[in-house]
Amino acid sequence: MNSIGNYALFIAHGLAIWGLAASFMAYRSRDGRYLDSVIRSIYGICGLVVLAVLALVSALVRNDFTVKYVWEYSRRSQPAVYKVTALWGGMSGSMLFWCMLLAVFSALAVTLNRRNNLRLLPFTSFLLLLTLGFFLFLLNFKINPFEPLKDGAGQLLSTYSPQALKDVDGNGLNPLLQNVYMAIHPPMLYLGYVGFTIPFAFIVGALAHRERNTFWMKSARNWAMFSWLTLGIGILLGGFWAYIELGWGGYWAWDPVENASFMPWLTGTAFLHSFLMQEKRGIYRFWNVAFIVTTFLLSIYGTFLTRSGILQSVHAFGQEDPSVPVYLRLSTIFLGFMALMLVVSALFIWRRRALLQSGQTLESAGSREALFFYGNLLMAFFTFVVVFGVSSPIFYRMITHKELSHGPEFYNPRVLPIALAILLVMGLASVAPWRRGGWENYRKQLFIPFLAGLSALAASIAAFFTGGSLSTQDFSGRPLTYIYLFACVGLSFFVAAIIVEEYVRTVRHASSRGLPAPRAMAAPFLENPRRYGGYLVHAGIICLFLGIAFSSTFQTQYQESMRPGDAVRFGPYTVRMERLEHDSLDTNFRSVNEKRIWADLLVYRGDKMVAYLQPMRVFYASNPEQPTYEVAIHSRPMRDFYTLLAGYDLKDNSAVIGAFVNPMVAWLWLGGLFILLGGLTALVPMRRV
Amino acid sequence: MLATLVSLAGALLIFIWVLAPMFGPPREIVQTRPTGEAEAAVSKSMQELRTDLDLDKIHQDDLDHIKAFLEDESSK
Amino acid sequence: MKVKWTVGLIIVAGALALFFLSSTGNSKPVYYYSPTEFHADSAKQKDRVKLKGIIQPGSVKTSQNHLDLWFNVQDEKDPSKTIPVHYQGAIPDAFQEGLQIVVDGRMDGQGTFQGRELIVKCPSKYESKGKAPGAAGDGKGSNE
Repeated sequence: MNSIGNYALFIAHGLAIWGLAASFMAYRSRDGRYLDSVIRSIYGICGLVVLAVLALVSALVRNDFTVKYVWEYSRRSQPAVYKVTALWGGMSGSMLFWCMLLAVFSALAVTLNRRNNLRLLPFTSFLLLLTLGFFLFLLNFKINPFEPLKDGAGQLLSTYSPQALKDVDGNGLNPLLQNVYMAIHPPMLYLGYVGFTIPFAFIVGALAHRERNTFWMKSARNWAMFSWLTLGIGILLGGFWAYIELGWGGYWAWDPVENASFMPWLTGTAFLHSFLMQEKRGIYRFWNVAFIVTTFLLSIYGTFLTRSGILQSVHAFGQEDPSVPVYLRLSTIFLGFMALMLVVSALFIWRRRALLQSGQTLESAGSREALFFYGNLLMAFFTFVVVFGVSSPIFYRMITHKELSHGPEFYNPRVLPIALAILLVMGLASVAPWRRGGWENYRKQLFIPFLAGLSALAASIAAFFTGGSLSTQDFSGRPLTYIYLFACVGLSFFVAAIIVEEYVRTVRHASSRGLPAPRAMAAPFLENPRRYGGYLVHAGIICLFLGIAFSSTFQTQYQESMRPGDAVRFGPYTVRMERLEHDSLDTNFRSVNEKRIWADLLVYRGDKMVAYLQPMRVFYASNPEQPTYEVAIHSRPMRDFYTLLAGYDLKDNSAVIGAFVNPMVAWLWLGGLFILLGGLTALVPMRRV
Repeated sequence: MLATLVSLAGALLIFIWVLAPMFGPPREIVQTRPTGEAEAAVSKSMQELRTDLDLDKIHQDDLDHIKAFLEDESSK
Repeated sequence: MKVKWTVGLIIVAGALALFFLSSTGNSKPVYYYSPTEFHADSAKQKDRVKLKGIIQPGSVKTSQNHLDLWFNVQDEKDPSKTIPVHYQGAIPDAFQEGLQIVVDGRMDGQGTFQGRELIVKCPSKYESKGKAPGAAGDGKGSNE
């Protein structure tokens, strides 16, 4: 079975090489024979890579420890579901998974466009096959997931007797990854990363073929929308995982690994907006090509950053073996591939620059078209700050051999004003008229939102300075933080009011057509799904902004040593510790995957008991020396009470309870829900009126 | 050994299948376009823009201008 | 359209100004130092730095109530160079003697490094490292 996986990857690589040659021939000669062969080779690669994935999954499930990857990321007592998710628990497995997704997406995209967009398929396939070929090359020659395991004496485990193999057990998946959110977070991210390859290939392909017909744009837009949505949800799931699993009370730390997925998401967001303008007005053609190429490159860069070990990070990576020559190192190969794709794209942008002239003019600096441009400019800058923050330590280390890292202190002052400006533009662009701007157009529609924003701003300032818990002293300690907070509240209400106003007015128009009330309420989403799906996403973004602003400004942290029977105050809550309990700790890990120690806590607010929490530490078989946190959270819309078992002494029967009071973290997850709903709405075909 | 033979045979079959289209006379890449698609694309875009007309975010003459552009674009 | 480019230019200029003006005060980058480098660079002794090294085996002490933690950070290349660290707060999941650690903090007046954040370099977020079965193994994974 393992050798079948290996052969499958090898044959797939052969097909990719043939496909590359054939697609280039199809591009040059416009001969349909070549194109047919290219399409078949994409289907063949798809089938073979799926076969290889099945072989690896089967090895994981069968506990086949003759394969090094299985031995590293799985063990006998691991729950079956985590044996399967170990597929993306390590480097080579996740690359195989990446490659499979790309192969399946490519086959799907080719099939869906075989009839209507056949003309631009040769070069589109060339770019897809180049990417596929790159990953297949890595999988065959650099990071083979089927590499056999050798024991300490250098003997292959596949030569062991079946009896001897029975005594072998693997290391197991990293305990932090044995979590349901971590099981779905990487695949979601990969769907997004991989998905952006398709619109990239279509857009550069269309450019190469001088395609004047615009049908292909619908397909490109849908792929980009899907990728943007899965990437965004993946990022939020990662934040949620960090929040409940890492025990530091936060969800985002500007860690390079987090930034890696955030960068293509930002440029993808910008792309989706300006692509809309190209569709309707034929403008921003150059921007769109530039944004989709950047998004694709950042997706590859993100994959590379998370997997190559080039960065200092909380998530610390394995370093590269210094005995490998530089030109054979994974980082060199990755950067080389990115440079190649950049050169190919830049070449066609240059050679087809005449096609990127829009021929249409922008009529007004206050028009919808112009506001979309400002928004994109802001998002481009946001991306630039993140790219700089992630990349500059790499160059710094190359030059000085010293290390530095950029944390929230680097990012926050640079991106918060940009983020607030994006919020403002997001609101204004929703009401901005096409082709013309000016005060007249805005006055009528901005009156109520302006009042809403202003009163929210005034209310938040008043609440801050008259509220008991805060004072002017707090303000003078970190004035910028509070100014941003007030601005965020004011702008959020402003934009939210715009969205509500737009929606209400649209529903009114629908009911004036004689639609019954429920149908009229659904009408905006059915008849203009992209616009009102977009508004749902915008509403989600507002929730994110508010959640981030409040939770990061007002987080409070507590820590107390407690014994059963003790009651301690943590901010507005009183915690009574009932017991400190544990699983039997002397059984071995042969039969169990985990052992737990936990505290039973009763949480009171005033005299009323509001929650029963059990913060835990869990010892996993794969890493018994390092117990992981299993936090317990009492979550309410306005406030999370987040507890963890920071320390324990079983002999002494005492525990250290850590706690965070995190305001409005739930709004982040609510925002994620809105984004998901909005994204799905935008993907549903519109109902014709 | 068996796995190797099966894989070799599989590889051969796949390559024969992939290369099969090459043994034929050269032919152009012909793209078909379903009838009515051009009109459908324009009318979809116009439906979206009509929301803006309802909400005073586009003037009738701007709408006509954009419609003319979309029709021109989809006729290519 | 001139006005559009003017607004665009203002946005670009604003963002650039923001980018560079922000590099003062608190938002200076935080550098990594090994104990040896830290001892050698006296100018850095008051700044916030990231101290990088190994949790010296045998040096870890906690207070009776487990709220305070003391340990020494040992240089990876030169085991004789150590810096005492004090830290108050939740101890990370993977904290263990002999492992690589990064302590974010600054030196106090008494020669103790006051940590405000501990980052334990567990072998990897994604990858767990182990010894090959049977004999100790050479431990040299080809897995990057």
